[in-house]
Amino acid sequence: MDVLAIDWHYEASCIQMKNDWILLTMRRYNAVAFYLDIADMLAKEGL
Amino acid sequence: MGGLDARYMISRLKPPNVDVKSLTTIATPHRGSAFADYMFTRIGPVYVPKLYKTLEYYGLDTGAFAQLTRQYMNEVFNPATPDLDGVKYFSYGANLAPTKWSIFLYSHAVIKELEGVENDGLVSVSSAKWGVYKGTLTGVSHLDLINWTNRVKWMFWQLTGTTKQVASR
Repeated sequence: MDVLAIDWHYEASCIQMKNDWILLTMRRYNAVAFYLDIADMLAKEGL
Repeated sequence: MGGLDARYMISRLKPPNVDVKSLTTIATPHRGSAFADYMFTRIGPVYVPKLYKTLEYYGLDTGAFAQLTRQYMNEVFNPATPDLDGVKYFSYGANLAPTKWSIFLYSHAVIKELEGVENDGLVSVSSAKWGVYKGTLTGVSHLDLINWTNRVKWMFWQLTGTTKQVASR
């Protein structure tokens, strides 16, 4: 009879890695948008 | 560090053909970085030149690194570089919760321990405050702020054959 052995530690670390990778690639910091926001802030300051 | 260069230019170089109205700094280590302190005290004067040599081999400039300690910034740079009247100073800081894959995981923990405040992996929020503080960006690293992360992503995409879409006609 075949026995399917599941290494839960391995499975858990794979899921963790996948979650970290998703977090890493999902981060959407937009430097250009931030610079434009600063330009907007300066305009409001009258500069 | 560009923010410190800019302050130096405004306060000390004072080029006659430049009329500065304001300076906005983003995660600039105005009061130094605890990570710089850590590098010099823990790694020590023997190994720092070796580290410099390695960094310079890869084209990274290390000349100003020694001037980023909290002591140098608070006792030498800041007293000698006062804000100029007539110039408005604004600043932003950033904090990061690094994943275990982040290159800032270690430096973030060092700064958090020594300064006890949020930081972006190289500069703490309290060190980044100068003039009118405009706010803290969350989940953003120091490399994100100078757009390096996006550049690395674009480079990776180009390696995989994806071309960057640029609207230029």
